[in-house]
Amino acid sequence: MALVRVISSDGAAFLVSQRLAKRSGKLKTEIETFRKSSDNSEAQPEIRIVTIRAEILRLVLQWLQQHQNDPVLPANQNEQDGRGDAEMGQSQWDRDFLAPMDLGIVMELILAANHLEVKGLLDITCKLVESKITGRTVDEIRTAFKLKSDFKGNEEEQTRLENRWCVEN
Amino acid sequence: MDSDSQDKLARSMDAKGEPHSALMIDVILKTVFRHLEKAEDVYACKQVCQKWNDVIDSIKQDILYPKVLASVVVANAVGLSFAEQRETALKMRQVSRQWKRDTDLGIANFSKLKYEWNGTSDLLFFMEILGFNPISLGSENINRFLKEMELWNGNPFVGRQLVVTWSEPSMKSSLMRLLDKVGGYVFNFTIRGKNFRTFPDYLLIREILAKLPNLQMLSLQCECPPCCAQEFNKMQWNDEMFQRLVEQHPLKKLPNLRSYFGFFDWGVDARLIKTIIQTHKLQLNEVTSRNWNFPLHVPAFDLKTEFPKLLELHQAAEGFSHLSASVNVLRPCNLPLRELRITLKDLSQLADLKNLGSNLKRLAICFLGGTKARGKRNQKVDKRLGENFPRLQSLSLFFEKGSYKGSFKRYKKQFTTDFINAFPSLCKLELWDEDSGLGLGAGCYKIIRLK
Repeated sequence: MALVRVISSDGAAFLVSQRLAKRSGKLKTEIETFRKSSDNSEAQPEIRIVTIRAEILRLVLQWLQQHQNDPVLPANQNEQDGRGDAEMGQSQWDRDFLAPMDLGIVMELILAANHLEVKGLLDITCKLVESKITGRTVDEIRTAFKLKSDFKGNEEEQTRLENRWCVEN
Repeated sequence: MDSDSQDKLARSMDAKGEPHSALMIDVILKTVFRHLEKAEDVYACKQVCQKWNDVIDSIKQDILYPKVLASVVVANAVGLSFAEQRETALKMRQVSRQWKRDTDLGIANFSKLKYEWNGTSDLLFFMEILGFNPISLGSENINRFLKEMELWNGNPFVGRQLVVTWSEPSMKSSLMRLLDKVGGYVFNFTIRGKNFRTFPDYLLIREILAKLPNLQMLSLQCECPPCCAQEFNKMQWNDEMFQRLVEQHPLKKLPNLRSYFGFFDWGVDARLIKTIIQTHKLQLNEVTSRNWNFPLHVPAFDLKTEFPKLLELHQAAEGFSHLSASVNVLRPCNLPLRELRITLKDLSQLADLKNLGSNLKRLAICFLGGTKARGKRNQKVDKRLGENFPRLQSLSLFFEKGSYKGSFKRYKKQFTTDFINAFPSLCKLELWDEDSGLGLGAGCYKIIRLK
């Protein structure tokens, strides 16, 4: 089985099959570029991902492993109809996978999935974070994201007025 | 600096009144990180060292979440309806100052006016999300808006997009009052329904632009027929007079202007367009033109030397020679274009664009009809063509009536197979023909998603 060594920003190395790695658009391109530039067809590619730390990279690879037999979703799946496919693509395993994560980790997963071009993971993580906002009041959102309002003076009222203008006109 | 940081800083003063350096660094770092506009930049900073990582983690909810969420909501990665998108975006603006700033920026960046061959979803989006019908912003609306704006001084344009429809000469004073008040918030400005072809028109546009200091995209649109435009150009000032007047009243350079959208500018004097572009040519990333009716005596642009930063060039249909961006001009260029829309006579001309191919991600080609092009659609696509376009993801092909023989359906299979084989990096292939619809955008024949 052909393997590829994927190295995180903090130096942790993960040895994974090329078949699995190629389910990431970014890793697929890197592997193909390595193949074209390498004289030795047996050489093992080594890919350094400088923006993703080990904990997050491990989660991405874990998700890819679980979904290795799924059809690959096009990167621009939503372009035409503007609709996402996160809901139909989310399994019980996905829900269990995401459940213990805090929002900070989920956010890093979003960025990692985006960088590595793993559309399915990007969809479900985006959906999870977005669900913390839609259908909630502003105060509930602040609670979910552990935030305090830092508007000064009448800024908050002013923002409400701006929003009202946008909606009413 | 936020109030918490100020308090901490005040408490940490030592006997000499100097702040402790470690806390000072934290405060400075937080201030710097809050000003990063892209989530990717924040994330990259997290990777720099443990210290930076810890500082960012301490303000992550405030600075990272809104950036990512603004992208998620605005780009609609989660499949919200327009109403949900608008509601969510507006709610995010009320959470905190940083969330408001990032949401506004996310919408502004997304709502850049672009004409798309595959529909007008962008246009629909920002009209819907604003809930603000820019097309009807005539003088009456402006006056009502100004009255309401007396209540506050914030950014009223969530998408930083202002589209004004010129309805009567008297609206100039209303428009100027509006721009005096909110011009600084506007990134994208479109004016419709007005011909710009006299010297007072030039002065008007000059005055308008001076009130839009942060403008990024400008569009002058007047949809009078091209034949009228040619008449305008004949009737107005001679070149020498125009040049002298412009030198006496030069345009103020807009430092952030990156995009000129000129799809419907038939009623705008070519020299006025040229003056605007000439003033900003070295900084423009994106130029869209359909049919600039530059009279022969108005020199065409030299793309190679005049637009070093051009990343996107859109030429949707006829009239390409006015931009001097014909294949002959483009062939020797090494512009770092990511997107190109071009008109070609036949497929063989595509190979002439190989110098531009290395960065190109989106390519749209309109194949001309007419006798010269006839009979050339039968040829097969060169299998090695894709080697010159290694990053090409989206290819749109529009076939004008007369650019092929007989029924377009005859070529369906051949083109689909040939193009997929020739461009292995393709994610999307679109085939359009004029016969199956009412011109550009309506005659979608086939869209194939490959990856």
